[in-house]
Amino acid sequence: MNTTLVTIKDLTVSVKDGNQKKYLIEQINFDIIQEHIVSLVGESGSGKTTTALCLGRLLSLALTIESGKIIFNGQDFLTLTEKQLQQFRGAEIGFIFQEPLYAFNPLLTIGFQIEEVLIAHSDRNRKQRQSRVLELLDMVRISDPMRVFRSYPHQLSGGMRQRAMIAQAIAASPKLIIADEPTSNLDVTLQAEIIELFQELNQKLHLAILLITHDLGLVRHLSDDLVVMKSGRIVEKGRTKDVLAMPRHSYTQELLEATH
Amino acid sequence: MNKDKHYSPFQLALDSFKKSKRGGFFLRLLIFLYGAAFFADFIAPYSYQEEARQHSYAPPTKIHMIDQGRLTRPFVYAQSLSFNENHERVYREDKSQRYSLRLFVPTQKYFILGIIPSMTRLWGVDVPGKIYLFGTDSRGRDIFSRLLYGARISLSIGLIGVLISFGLGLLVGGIAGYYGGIVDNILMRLCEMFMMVPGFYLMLALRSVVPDNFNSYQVYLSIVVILSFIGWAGLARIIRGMSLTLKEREYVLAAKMLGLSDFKIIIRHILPHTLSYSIVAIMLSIPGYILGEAALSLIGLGIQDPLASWGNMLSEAMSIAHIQLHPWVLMPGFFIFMTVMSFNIVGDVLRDCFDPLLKGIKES
Ligand SMILES: Nc1ncnc2c1ncn2[C@@H]1O[C@H](COP(=O)(O)OP(=O)(O)OP(=O)(O)O)[C@@H](O)[C@H]1O
Ligand SMILES: [Mg+2]
Repeated sequence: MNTTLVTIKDLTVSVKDGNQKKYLIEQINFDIIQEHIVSLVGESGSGKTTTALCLGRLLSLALTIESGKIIFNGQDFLTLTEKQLQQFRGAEIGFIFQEPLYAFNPLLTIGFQIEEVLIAHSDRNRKQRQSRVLELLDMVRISDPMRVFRSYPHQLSGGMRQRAMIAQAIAASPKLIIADEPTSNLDVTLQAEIIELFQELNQKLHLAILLITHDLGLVRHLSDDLVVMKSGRIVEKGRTKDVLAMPRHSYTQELLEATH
Repeated sequence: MNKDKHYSPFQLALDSFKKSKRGGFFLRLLIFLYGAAFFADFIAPYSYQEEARQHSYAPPTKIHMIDQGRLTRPFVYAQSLSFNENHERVYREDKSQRYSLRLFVPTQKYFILGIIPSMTRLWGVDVPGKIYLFGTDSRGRDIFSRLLYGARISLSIGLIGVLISFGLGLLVGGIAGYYGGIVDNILMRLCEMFMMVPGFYLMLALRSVVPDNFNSYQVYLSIVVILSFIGWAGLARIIRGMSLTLKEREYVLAAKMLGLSDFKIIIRHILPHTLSYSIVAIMLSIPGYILGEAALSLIGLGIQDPLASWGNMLSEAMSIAHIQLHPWVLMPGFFIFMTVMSFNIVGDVLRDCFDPLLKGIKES
């Protein structure tokens, strides 16, 4: 049951800085196993978000993927055309952003913005789509799906918006979800609830999750595998409990000490 | 805020517009004018080409309510024409013939909006009397009726022209800003070409390309197209600038992550955010189209007689002598002025209401 979903091989990303090239990510390698929760930790600026954006091929124009491979489900991700990528994004990979207030379009209702994913990736009719959206909202434990469906982003609380974005990310039943610091803007009780939700979705929907976080408690509690990054390189990776029990790299040790 | 209702920021801005007295009044005035234009053939007592040569340059007909000291239903007297020693027309009321004003007077069969057959018009006077609310022109045609028919052309040119040029401007601007690079460069150079030529000359140049043998509807359409051609470039440049910043928004990245196509992202996640600006700009640019049509028609290059437009009606007012003798031929000018002013005021008030939304775009 340990099939690999994503393989990232020797991935290098650079940015043009005047005449010089600066490497933001250098030669990173790691796998995401199906149905595993993989934590990606590292100090600010270590290249975590950049790694995540590579998985959607949505780096900003200034950045280029120099070399390496991303194999998603047996397919070489970096050779896909823009059209194929559009079918990939959303349908195979869902993204969850740190601040859902900015990730939703303020002029459209939450319901419509979730429905949009279904318009792009399924051939359900309008009615089917709407009942699916309500079902999704229910799945992420929103108690009043009908109201949230018709609400605009600014009318919801932060926790609600985060749930709605999770519903949007899983709408087209992707195999992988990438969550970039999904809880750092929430208070502690809400954090716990969202974490619980991730766990539940991971088990129920057989989702793999790439979790980018600074919260080692979360890492310990939730993830199967752990990848530690420092200035664009991977310094340590392995099963979470192994790495945390016996950190080999000094940076990981520091990280652990800092949170104890 | 009402919990059961779901307002978009856009609706909130419109709500604050509704509260504005000034904006509301002029918006209603515009709706009234457009409504009158729409039902012109029913409201106008005569058709736009019905002429009475013996009544040329007749002044506005007086409506009387009092007959020998007693209040009666409104009526008019017949007009008799004579010339004074300077060979100027003098109309006198012929008190021996009086005609009552009536609602729903029978006329020849005609079609309301070109489809619904009708044998009555909203109001008029008993035949053979005539009522000229705003007087008549050189050929004895009722200016009031022609104003109504002309409103159809003059007012609709503004709306249709603005729709075309804004559709074009939004699309071109959206695409240029979103894709950037070469696409942006080419499209923007194109816009600049259009913007460099002064509008009026461009209008004349384009008009000269239109074949002479066009019928009035073709002329109408070509005027609309010409005017839209002039208007779109300026808008495209502004929308392009907005879309350049809007595409950096996180929800645009999020939309890409969801696998939406570029076209959908431009249409749904970028252009709607320019709407608060566009609506104001639309209101403020409609007068340009109305004046453009008027200018073309005034110099005889637009809508041709006997069809009425506010512009070609004004060509009767081209000489000072006429204005002195028959000031009522200026009526179309007054209507143009009123319409243009209303659009400007409504646009101004809208801008105030949308200001918070507009600031949101500029700041982030
Ligand atoms: N468009 C860009 N142009 C230039 N440099 C960039 C760009 N995007 C990211 N970087 C740089 O790449 C490095 C890695 O950024 P990244 O956002 O991946 O870090 P991160 O690990 O996600 O940090 P954080 O924890 O703060 O979110 C940073 O030094 C950043 O300055
Ligand atoms: Mg980051």
